[in-house]
Amino acid sequence: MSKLKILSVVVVLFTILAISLSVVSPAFAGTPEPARPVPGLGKMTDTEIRNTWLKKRAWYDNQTAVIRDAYKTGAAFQSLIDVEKKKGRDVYALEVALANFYGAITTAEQARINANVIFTSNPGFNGFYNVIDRNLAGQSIIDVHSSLKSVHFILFFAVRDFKAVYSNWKARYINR
Amino acid sequence: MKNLMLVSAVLVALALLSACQNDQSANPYPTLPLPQVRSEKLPTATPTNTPEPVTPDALQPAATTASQLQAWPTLDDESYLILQIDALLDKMERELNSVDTRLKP
Repeated sequence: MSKLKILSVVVVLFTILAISLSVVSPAFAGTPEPARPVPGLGKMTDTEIRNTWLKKRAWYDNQTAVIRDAYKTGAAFQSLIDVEKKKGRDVYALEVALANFYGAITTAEQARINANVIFTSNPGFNGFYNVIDRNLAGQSIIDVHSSLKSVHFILFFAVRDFKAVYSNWKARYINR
Repeated sequence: MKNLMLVSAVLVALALLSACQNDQSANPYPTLPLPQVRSEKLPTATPTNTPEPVTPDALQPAATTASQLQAWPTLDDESYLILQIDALLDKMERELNSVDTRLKP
């Protein structure tokens, strides 16, 4: 009889525990983060703001790599001009293209200063890129996007124009 | 009574174990015999098989023509630079085209 009592107490306790867990578990399950409006960006959650900021940061790093490659290209191009000069070929178009290319890189670097300043101070974000001020973070995204986009187009057109002149020269002298 | 027998059995077992341990501790790690190392002298060169010193001939200045001197810059330099520039331009184009330029990607 005593064993039966103990068994019944255990079953009752187990039932109470199971019911209490089934009630509590949804509270622990993360509720969806509310998307609230950010000036100039529409409705965004804090996570979306953070991810957008990190993507802008990746874009900035990508531009850094492009500018580094642009300087390497310029150096190799100058060597090619020297070689072609010694061969007695006309390199005037190449020299003009290289001067324009360097000018575009300089312009792009000046346009990056604003983005650099914003990424250095991280307005609206803490050191781990978590949002601490939604409005300020949104404004930072808008400002840095504007800067990065202008740099992007400067680099894009510089590479396109440079490649056009270079391809014409190659078609004339190399791929005959 | 049963407990007494059990205790005595355990004591006997312990005594046996300690006896075995004592036997093993007499010569726990028998050492291997010492290796037999051959002690021989290395062969040395004798005067009969030593090579005779050879004096190299005096270097003659290479006859280079003016056309050979003017051959620089070579085509290899040009090809190398063109390959390098092509690769860098392609890489920059790929990086620039792979970017999502929307405000909210």
